[in-house]
Amino acid sequence: MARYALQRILLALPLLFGLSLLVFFYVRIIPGDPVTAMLGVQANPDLVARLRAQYGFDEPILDQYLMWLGNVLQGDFGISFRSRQAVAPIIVDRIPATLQLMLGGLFVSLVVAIPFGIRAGMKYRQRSDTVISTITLVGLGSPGFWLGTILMVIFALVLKWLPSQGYTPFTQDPVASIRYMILPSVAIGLVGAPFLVRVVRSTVVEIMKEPFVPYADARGLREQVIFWRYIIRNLLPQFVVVLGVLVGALLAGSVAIEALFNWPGMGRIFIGAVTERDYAMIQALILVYGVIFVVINLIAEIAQAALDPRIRLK
Amino acid sequence: MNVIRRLWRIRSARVGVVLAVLLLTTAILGPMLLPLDPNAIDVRARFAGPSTAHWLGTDDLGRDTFTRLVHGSRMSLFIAALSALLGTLLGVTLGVITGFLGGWVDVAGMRVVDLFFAIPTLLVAIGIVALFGPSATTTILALGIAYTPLYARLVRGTVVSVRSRTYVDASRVLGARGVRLLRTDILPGIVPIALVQTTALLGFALVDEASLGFLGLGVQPPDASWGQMINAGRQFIFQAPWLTLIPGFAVILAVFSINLIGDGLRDALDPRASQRVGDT
Amino acid sequence: MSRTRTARLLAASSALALLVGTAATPALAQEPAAGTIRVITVEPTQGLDPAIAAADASRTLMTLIYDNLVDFDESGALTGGIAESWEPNEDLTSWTFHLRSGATFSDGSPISAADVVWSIERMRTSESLKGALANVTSVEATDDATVVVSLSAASRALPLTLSRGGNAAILSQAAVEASADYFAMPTVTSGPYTLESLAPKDRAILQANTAYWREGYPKTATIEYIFSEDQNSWAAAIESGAADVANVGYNDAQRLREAGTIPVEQSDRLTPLFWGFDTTTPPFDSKLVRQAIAYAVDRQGRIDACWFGTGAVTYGNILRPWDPNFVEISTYDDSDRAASLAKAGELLDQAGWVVGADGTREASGVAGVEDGTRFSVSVPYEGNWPAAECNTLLLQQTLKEVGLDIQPNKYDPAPFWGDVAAGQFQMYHGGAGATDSDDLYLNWFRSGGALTPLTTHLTDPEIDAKIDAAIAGDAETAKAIYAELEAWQADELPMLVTGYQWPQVAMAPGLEGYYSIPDTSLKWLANATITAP
Repeated sequence: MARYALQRILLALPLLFGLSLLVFFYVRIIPGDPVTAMLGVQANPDLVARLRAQYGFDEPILDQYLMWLGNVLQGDFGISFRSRQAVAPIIVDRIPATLQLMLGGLFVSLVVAIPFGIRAGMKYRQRSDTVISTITLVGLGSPGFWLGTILMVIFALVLKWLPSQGYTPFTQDPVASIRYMILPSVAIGLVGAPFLVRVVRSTVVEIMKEPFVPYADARGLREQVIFWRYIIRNLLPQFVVVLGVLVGALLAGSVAIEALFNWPGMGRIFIGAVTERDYAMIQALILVYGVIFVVINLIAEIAQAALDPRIRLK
Repeated sequence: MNVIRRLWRIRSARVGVVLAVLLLTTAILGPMLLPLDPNAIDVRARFAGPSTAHWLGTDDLGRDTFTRLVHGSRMSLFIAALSALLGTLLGVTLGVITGFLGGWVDVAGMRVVDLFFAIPTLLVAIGIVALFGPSATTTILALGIAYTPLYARLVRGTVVSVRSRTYVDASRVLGARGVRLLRTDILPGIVPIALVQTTALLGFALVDEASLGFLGLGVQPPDASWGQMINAGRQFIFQAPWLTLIPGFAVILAVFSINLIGDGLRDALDPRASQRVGDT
Repeated sequence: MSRTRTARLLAASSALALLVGTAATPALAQEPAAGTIRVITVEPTQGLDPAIAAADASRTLMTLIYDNLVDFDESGALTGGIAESWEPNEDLTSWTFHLRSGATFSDGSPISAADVVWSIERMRTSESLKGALANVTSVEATDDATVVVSLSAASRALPLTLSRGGNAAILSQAAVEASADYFAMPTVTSGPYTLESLAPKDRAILQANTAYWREGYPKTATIEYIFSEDQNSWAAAIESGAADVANVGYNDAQRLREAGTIPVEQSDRLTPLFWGFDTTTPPFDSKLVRQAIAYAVDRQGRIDACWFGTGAVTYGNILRPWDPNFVEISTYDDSDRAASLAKAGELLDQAGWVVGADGTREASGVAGVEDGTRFSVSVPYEGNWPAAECNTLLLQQTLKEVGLDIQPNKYDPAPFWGDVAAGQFQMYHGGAGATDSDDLYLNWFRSGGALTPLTTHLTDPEIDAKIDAAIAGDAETAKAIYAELEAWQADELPMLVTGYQWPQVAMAPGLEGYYSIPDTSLKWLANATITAP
């Protein structure tokens, strides 16, 4: 198992290397002079000089890359040209907020999707399956921020149960933190749930085709227990695969949800950086998003192998 | 032809097709038939309720909501169609080239695809918007490029499996030139998967266009698109909730119909599913 | 001083606080500061250096951390700040400031006469105040507690300039010189609060300055200064208990007033809304074109559509009817819209912009423009200001009626004013505040004024001389000169003022003692207390 894990980690390294190349070239494909694009035509000359030095635009491209990579590996992503603060600590401060929101979203997705997915799968092509599948299709088309707006109006403004926006770190005040995270988590979780329902449903449909299943219903409790265990055991490895996809969807969805609920995560600074054309920040964020996504997928792969021995033997 | 007939036999897909045709007709013909300018402001008729003059009332500037919705449909569907088309063109091209040529081209191409895979699509799109500035054109470009990696990987997989089938090898042995091989064997093989995938992209593009619009990175005011309308309506959620709700319903309806068609296509194209066709 | 109706506590909030309990009784002033007030507003986009940051977004936070030599009270009258008192010499060419004894910076070091001299010297060369202080010839400390400012010409306006929130900050020379990056995170400061942390796109945390010179202030220990780009969400934040104070949108203000649960105060400070022009190049180098636009714009329509009926219109004046220097001008009265539009059309024809085939005007004999060029102008506005977007969309539609093509351009708010100053725009949407007629003409019209490069872009020695004379003269002289200047600007239109916006401040019911003052400021938060609902 350890050997398999190590093998997967080593395989992820070239990907991270490629990601660094991608992000490195990103600012170099800006149309026109990148410094002008970043700072505008009437920029402060001191800032222009700092920017040119930070990117080394006048050096050969390989030197530029090595210099940049060297800095990045030491955790130095340069300075933001808007706030004039170092980029890395700003992003690092936001990672917990984004991860918290994603965990909340994941939780909501699972809680909503598993029972409905199983129900739909077991009642395949029956009335409750049709109802759940239709709702799922509607859910697939509902933009998260739109759902979030409606949730905010109902639960924050009309019923006044929850705050409409804001954030408190979990470590500082867990109760307040959870109160703040409920609405955004539900909004983002409901975006992820339809994908998950469809996966769970089709998995259960496959399981239901197994020969022993029709008998389980007829023969008492003992078989039912076996049946449930069987379903869960077959769902689990599937989940781990789906988790990677789901996390991607949640990460992407978090950007709009963070903007809507003024949630100070990476998405907030990402959108801010895009509208402000703060490329040092965008560059670093794309890399960090990529690394988070790769790492989560890696964990998913390894966990899947741990649950399903056939995979590591392949 | 066979596929379409089979698709039509699936009830849910039929619903999807009818809805999609309705939406498309509205989007294409609507703007020509409606007498009002979608951007015409009338400050004396703000937040008017539904009436014979304004079927869905008016917005904060007295603009006719129905007219804007119809023009917005054209914009949103246009963006979705073109970005799905762009994603398809790029994805199929990349997938066929890597899958067909194999060797180092395949390795290099797929590594690049893997890279983009490491970043969620909407984030790739936002990164592209940052380079070119927000507009309808950028939205199409950004979404089209963002959808390419997944598409390319799917097509490559299909091409590799088609190529490895004996009859393709046989035709190579017989000396068929590469281009002909592509046309006769490879391309027909990927049509079914492309149909399903492009349909799915249409749905993603509609939701992603709305998200970009919400973030202020899509269509710019005063032009209307569904995403832009949801975002603009949000500040008047109490005075006029319909300004937010209606364009949201439009997105849901459009994606719903597309997914019905997509699911139908999948069933219609899957021979194993054929015995299920007709039972709903 | 402009009249203010804002300086009152709302009866509703007091009554509610009484119901809530006894915690909000005046006895609190003697108790040590406690509690947290959560403000939600835009991020200080221009940083925290008083010499550079002229935008309200930055000044709002700066007023909480930097104190001035001269302060003003809730009615807008000047009062003691770090200077306890001041007096001019007979001919108003020299002002003597007597510093408060025992005033200290947040690190406990005394605010010395040397710090004050250094700070004023810094203002004199600063982007934000060099124009208003152009007449200063010397700044001297005559002893530890006295600073004398000498002027090249008489001026009544010096104390007013030194009260300019945020920009006329008294800084610690030692602290500023100790670090090249001091203004990235200024911690040793003179104001009621000190900056504890500032996270971009998140929030700043301000803690009460325990060494603050005003006994018993600030009354609340902490201010959580939450950044948000989405003004549409601020009212909701207060309603749902996620924030305590915010400057809410007009639609929300109206809704909250109707609901009656959240008090909303209106500040009717002098805050002209205007269209800025590049008057050096076509088409706006032509006075006729500018006047045509002044005739064509729908002034009341803007108030109704974008400001939900709040604020006021003007048909030529910048000053408001209750200003002592107001003399009514009604050149652009548009009660007969058709006549106004016809007049605008005439002026455009005269300027050489004739109606083309598609209804859009094109040049025909306009100096410096090729014949047949369409009148098409991109008009940027600050992207985080919903009412500005509405205003610009409305402009587009109104000017279409006279054949002018306006392209609204949603602009990144951070570089917006820098790009205005750099002359990037032909025409743009603007709004800013002034305390009174002296401040307005000194800082908006005089060359080198704090806001001149952002508003009128004037460098006209004749106008400068008139403003200087108004500021040096007695009330009668000033009134006569301002009447002349008002008439001049209404005709010349270096910028086109169409009316005023009146900020709507919503407050959580538990907030007591806060009022917005006739300035861009949250400074009165130092007086406020908060009780949990």
